[in-house]
Amino acid sequence: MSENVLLLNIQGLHVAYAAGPKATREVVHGVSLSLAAGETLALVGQSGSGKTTIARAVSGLLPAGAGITAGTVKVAGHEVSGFKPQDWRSLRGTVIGYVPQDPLSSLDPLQRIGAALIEALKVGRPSLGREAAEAAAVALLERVGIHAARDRLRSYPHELSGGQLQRVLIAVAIAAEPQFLIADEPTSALDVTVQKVILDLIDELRVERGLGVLFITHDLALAAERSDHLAVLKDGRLVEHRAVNEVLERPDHEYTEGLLSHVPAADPDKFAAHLGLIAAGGSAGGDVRGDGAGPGHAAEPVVSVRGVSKTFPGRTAREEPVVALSGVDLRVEAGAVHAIVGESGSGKTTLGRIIAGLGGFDTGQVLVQGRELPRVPATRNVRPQDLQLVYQNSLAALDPRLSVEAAVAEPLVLARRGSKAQRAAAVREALDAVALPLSVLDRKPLQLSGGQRQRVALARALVLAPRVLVLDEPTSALDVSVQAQVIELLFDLKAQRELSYVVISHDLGLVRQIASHVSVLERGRIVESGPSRELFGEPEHEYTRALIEAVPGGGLLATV
Amino acid sequence: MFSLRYVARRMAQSILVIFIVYALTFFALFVLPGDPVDNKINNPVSPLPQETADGLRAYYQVDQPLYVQFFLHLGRLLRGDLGFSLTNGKPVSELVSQALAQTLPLAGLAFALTVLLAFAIALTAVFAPVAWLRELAKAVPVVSISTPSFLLSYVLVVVFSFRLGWVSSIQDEGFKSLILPAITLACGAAGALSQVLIRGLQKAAGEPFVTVLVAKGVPSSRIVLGHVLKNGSIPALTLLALTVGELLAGSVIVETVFNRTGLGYFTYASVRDQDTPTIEAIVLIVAVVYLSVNLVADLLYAALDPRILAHEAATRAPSKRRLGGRIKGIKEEVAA
Repeated sequence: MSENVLLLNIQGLHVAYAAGPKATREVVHGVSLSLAAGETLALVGQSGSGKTTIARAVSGLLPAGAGITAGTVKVAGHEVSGFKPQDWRSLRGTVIGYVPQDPLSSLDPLQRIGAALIEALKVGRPSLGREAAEAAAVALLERVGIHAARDRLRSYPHELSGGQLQRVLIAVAIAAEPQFLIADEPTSALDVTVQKVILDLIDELRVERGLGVLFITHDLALAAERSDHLAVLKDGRLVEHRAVNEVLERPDHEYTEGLLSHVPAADPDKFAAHLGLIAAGGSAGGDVRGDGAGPGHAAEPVVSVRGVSKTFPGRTAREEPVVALSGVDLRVEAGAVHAIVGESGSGKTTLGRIIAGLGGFDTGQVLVQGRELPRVPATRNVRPQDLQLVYQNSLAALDPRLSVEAAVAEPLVLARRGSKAQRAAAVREALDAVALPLSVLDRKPLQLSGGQRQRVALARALVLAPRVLVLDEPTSALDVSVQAQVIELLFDLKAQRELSYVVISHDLGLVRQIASHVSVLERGRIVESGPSRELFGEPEHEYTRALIEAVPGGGLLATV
Repeated sequence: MFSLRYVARRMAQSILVIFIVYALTFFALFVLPGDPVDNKINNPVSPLPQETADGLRAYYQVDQPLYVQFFLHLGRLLRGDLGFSLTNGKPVSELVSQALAQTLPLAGLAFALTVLLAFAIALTAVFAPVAWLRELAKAVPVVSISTPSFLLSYVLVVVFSFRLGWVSSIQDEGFKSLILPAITLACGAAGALSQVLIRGLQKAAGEPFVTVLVAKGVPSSRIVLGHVLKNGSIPALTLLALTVGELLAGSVIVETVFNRTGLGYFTYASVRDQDTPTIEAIVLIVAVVYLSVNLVADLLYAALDPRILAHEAATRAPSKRRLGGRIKGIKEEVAA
């Protein structure tokens, strides 16, 4: 590759953040990368690996106080490492296009879609007239697959869905005809089927316009499927930078190897033995009556949902009411890991909240451990020892002012269980069960890592010794290696305490690995339900098939 | 844009609130033993000549029971008759318009200065290119809030009237006389407003959409003035509405220091003299002012932020449905 076709050429890049009046903290240590026209380079790493910092450094979007301290960065031939903020403007839009992470908050909520697009178009062609600009905006929207594009020009961002907004943002990014796109986790906030469509769109545009794409992601499976070259980052250092198939065949670095092994899609049978073992161990132990593996078993299920429907009133007076659930049946056997899967809006969270006794329902019956739940939930959980909910975002689920000790002890205090000393002992035991050191007792949630926080949330759920846990996207906020640890922990706890899990998830790769049973929800209806093996082996419903096909990296990584 | 039904509903609400405020004031004034109007007129120190006093007594029908008087007042109010002052027998509407003629130009100028000052402070505090200037601007609101207005007005009078002799401290010199009190009022009101603005602008400047705007090549001046300013100043709108009310009705100290007889002074004087009809008129004016600026602010909200209407509709819809359901339930019960 000769120098002039490289869109991006980074040599020995160091980036540091200001960390005090005179001190700096270096977060990227000597990274070299290159990207040619028409190619996709995936920058993969876990949180804190420096991938976003690099993306921001090469697009002039570093926050105040951060800067390139050494190395050279050439963007389409321009040496940008010494650029001042105003110098960047000549490259923005016309050379570099930027596709952000969270489409929902990435457009000015007070600006119409059309105005946002025209603003971007005028960066490339300042003399563009109003009518020509509108026509160009319509053409752009049509190109990215927005229907009724002309009407959409007058829409505000809040009137569009996440997928549509990401299409609009891609249109904004390509409006001034850039030479390459920087896509910073462009689909992490989107459903898996929408993710597929958006990434297909970026791919099409890459081919059509000869764009280079710098694709930043934490998802190795996704990166492997969508890029030509992989750059794997760890703690601000490059551990691997080669063609995708080479990396997959022979990972150079044990870190990459570890990452690959932690991708659930790469190892769907990791816990198969475990799930089977529990089934066998359950019947042998005598205490657990269900055997988890046998559907239609005579034993009483731990959770039984029969014909449950729930309708929410429409968002506006004119809007139709939203049917969140209609006639849902679900049977969770003792010892099972029952996954409820579906896309956003499918009703899976509503169902999870109903089972957890947090949400009401209109018709039907819900039994938890044989006890019927009222249709209008009680303000206070009367039997917290039956079932507990673990929420997906542990930062939001923990009171930021309570120490870990106080947070974990709270359920005991509310249930008026034990003396102060007994409670303290129970808290320590719960923390020990989730493999947290006692040194975290005095810490506040913000002083913990994401994985530690999720463990605290788990400890809090376990302290009353419930039999069933409802896990709402338990690992979606975690890095893949931390996710693997939390999943292992969940299986250990399950074996020790004979727990049953109801897992709500959109991640079919993970579900395939951890679930014994799966129920697929589509727009409030269960379209398919059954043992995990059968459902993934021979999906009957087309929606299930679409979901499985959209799982990134399934085919690619299975061969590793 | 907002629906006419929404505006009508808000207007009806406002009228109800005004009625309640008026009724409360009326009855509160009558809690004291005896008839306040009669007491005041019969007071031996009352400066009113006998015939005026008799006229007032007949006009207010002081021998009638309380509720008759209330409806009498209310009826006259609806016809636009605010009654007569008990201290000098002049029509209250005349006195009120005199006071308003003094207050409105001052409040208007003070309001303009407040907004200008608040935006200048907030924009400097958030977007000034050098750190020390930003920090300095951030400290200004605290100083402004904690400086009592009598102190500032005193300093201004001493410097500009006594030392420099630019403005008379006694004579009314038209617009020139407005400047010092307007500055005093604006400095007080701009403090809180700029603090809310600073927070709003900081939040808006940190939103992900700003990164996208930077990345798509929009000049930073346009990002600040065309996007961040609009998004960041919406939260300050409520406070701005309250500020308008305060500037119109709550400037007794400043009016006293600068020797003006505006609404603030007028309020003070009529309470001191227990001039019941005048107090009622003032309470009415203040209520109308606060309610109308709040209504305007809410309509502005909806006009500026398209999400508010969607939200408004969303929060209203269920209640209507609930009510409908309840009526249906009652009907079914009756049928059974």
